[in-house]
Amino acid sequence: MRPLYQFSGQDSFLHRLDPRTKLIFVFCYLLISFLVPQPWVLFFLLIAAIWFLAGIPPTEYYPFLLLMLPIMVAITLVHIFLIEGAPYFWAAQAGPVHISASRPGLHVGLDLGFRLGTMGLAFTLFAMTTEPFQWGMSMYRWGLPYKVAFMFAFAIRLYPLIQEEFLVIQRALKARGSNALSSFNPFVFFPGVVTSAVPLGLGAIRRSQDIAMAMELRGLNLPDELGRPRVLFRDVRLRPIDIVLMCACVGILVALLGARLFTNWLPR
Amino acid sequence: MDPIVLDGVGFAFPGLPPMLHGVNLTVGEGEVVALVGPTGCGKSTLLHICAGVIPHFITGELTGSVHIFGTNTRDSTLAKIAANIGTVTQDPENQLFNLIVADEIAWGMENRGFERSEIRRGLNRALEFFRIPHLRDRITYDLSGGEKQRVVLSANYAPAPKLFVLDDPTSQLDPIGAQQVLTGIQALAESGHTILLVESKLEEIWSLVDRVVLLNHGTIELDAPRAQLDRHLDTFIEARVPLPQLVELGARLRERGVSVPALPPDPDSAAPLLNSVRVMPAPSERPANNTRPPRVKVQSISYTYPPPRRTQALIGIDLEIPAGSVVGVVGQNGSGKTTLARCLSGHLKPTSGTVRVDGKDVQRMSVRDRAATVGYVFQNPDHQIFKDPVVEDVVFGPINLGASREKAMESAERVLRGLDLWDVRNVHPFRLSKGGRQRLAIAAIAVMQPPVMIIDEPTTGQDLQESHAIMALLVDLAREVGQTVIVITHAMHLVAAHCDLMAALCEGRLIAFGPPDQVFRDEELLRRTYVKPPAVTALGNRLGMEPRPLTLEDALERLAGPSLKVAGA
Repeated sequence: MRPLYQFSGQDSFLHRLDPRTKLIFVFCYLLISFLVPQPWVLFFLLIAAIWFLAGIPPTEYYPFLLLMLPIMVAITLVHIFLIEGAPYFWAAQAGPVHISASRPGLHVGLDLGFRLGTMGLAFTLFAMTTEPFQWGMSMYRWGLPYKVAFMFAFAIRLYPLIQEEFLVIQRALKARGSNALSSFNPFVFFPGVVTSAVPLGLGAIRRSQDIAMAMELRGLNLPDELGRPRVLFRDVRLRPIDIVLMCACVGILVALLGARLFTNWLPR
Repeated sequence: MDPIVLDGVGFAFPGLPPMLHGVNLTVGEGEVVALVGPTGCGKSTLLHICAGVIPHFITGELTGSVHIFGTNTRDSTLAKIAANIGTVTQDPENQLFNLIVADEIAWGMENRGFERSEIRRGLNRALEFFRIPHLRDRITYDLSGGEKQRVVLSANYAPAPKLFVLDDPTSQLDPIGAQQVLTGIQALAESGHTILLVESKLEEIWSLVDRVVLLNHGTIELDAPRAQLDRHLDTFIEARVPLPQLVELGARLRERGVSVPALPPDPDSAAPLLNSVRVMPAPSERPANNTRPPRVKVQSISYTYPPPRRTQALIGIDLEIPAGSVVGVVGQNGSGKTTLARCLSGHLKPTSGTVRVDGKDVQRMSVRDRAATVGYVFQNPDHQIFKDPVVEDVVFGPINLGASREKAMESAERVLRGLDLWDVRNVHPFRLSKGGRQRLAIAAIAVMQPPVMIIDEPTTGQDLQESHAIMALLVDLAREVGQTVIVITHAMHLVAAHCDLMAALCEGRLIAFGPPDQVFRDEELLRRTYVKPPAVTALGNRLGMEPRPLTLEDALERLAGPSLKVAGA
């Protein structure tokens, strides 16, 4: 199991795509999930795409799926009980209050749950198949200052390390007899989070100073001081397949939007 | 032009007494100079001055003059000074900023404005030089510690600096990782680079260094060629800096009138030089401590990590550890030491098999019961500091276990006094030294008085004296309250000096278990897991000494006879 949202490091069709192509794909896919009446199809299509086009089976990111499941179930349940309309699975009257579980509620709840799941999954696809520095450099190519783009990419590269550090701290808390971070009681859980934030935060401050020094020693500021341009050894470039896919994504989105707005083919 | 010239250099952090004063040091072109000294003597500060970090990144009062390749560091910028220097520090994790190895190595050249073709050539040259072309496309956080540090070395080497400043680059690595890095440093030295390095394992770099500079009390106490170091034994002893065991043994034998030449640090070369020396019988039998009833019973435990890792980390381990014993667990990184410790502490559920402490299965215990039964001190003390000040951090555990505040304070006082932390009880834990924080982490677990205590690498980054002090405290705990102490470590001299038993793991299997005196005999077996006995024990193996000497004092007594003691002393 790898930490959530960690780059998988494989070589596949999706890994080789330019980060900008994938960003546009994710953006279009999210909008499309709001246009089509069966978002669950998009959800499972994404799982299939991650598996077959990126070579990452669901077993490698099941913690994400496990994390999404209770949220999706909760959304569905809330809508089953909140939305009125026949046919009902069950209904009861408690004084003036009418309580019911409706089939239309189930449909709306499932739709919303799968839309949310699709959003999370689309971002997971992007994160697992996009090397943070390619992402950063593509933002640099879009005009972001180098240092900002580099620090952004570096922050993503640090994320799994911080996640691992958090797990160690969680174990250290248990070793001191505190199970606060596994508690469902918010009055126990949140103080536990604050307690674990102490070593995590102070460690991060200490680490950031060392890292900043090491970056300076490796010449982060040299191009500015010497007034020389920075050479990118591994530049990001859009390939024809990227441009084709970008156009296809935007084209499909526009077509579905048109169908939704101007025809009866997609329900409004 | 000499790469480093320091003239009357002093330095003080704002508001603090001087850290360094009157330092004069010249490092000539192609020289390899080792900087040694006790913890806190200012070694890293001096390296920071040489690398330009002081005064440009870390500020304070810098006096005297610092010239690097003829340029006064005050008159330049950090980026320009650093462009001619390769600087490597202790923790590779804080020196890797890119995800892919090739990007990491190319990054410094990108910053220097190299052409793309030059970057490609520099990258290939660095990969070849440090023998890591196979790592080129690997993800940096997936590498082992030794691989990471070699990538850092390569990244510094690629822009072709002439000077390297290395701050204890092997201190956080396991034996094989350290060996890989030292091989890299050897290649740098052989190719004529100038190197100024801090290295705690003087034994390992003995053949590389031209000169050794001893820093103590903020100034240079000794600057001597390697071959003359054994003439300055007292200076080293006074500074609490160990010479290589066999070098010191030779010097101390000569002090006691035994006619031996200067000994090299390598036991294979030293043993023939001692053939004519008569070995005395051992003064007394070592006390056997493994006759007590077992406290920890490990029955056929195996552990396989879940997918996608799927590594078989432990395979059919059986162990019985007596109450009141100190056990060293040794082995190469990835041999299963930490997985075993996590199974013993109940933090990890074995795929098969059971772990029982005093007859109770640790897996069936609640989090509280487990914490009260098996204490676990993690490797990095900074991950275990939850409260401020020191005393509050120590009482955190007992209060979680249900103790009253008064009772917890009472226990905390006893433990803090025992660990020499009572005077700093009201200080913020992060203001303590690394050694102090390590002792605090031990105190925070010891205060809960668990029958079993597991400590992961308690001496990383500590000097020899601090390491022995920590181990002595653990032995005291075991002896006084009958606690079973399990120590995961790479420091074989500490295992030899302090442990009753040792367990060697290799690729998830237990390959040896017994008293260090016995286990260290089979060097061939231990080599499989990159474990080397202490030099004096290895010498004992070659000279056939019975029982094997485990410490320098042991070996000295056996080769020179007991030293004369003044009555009443």
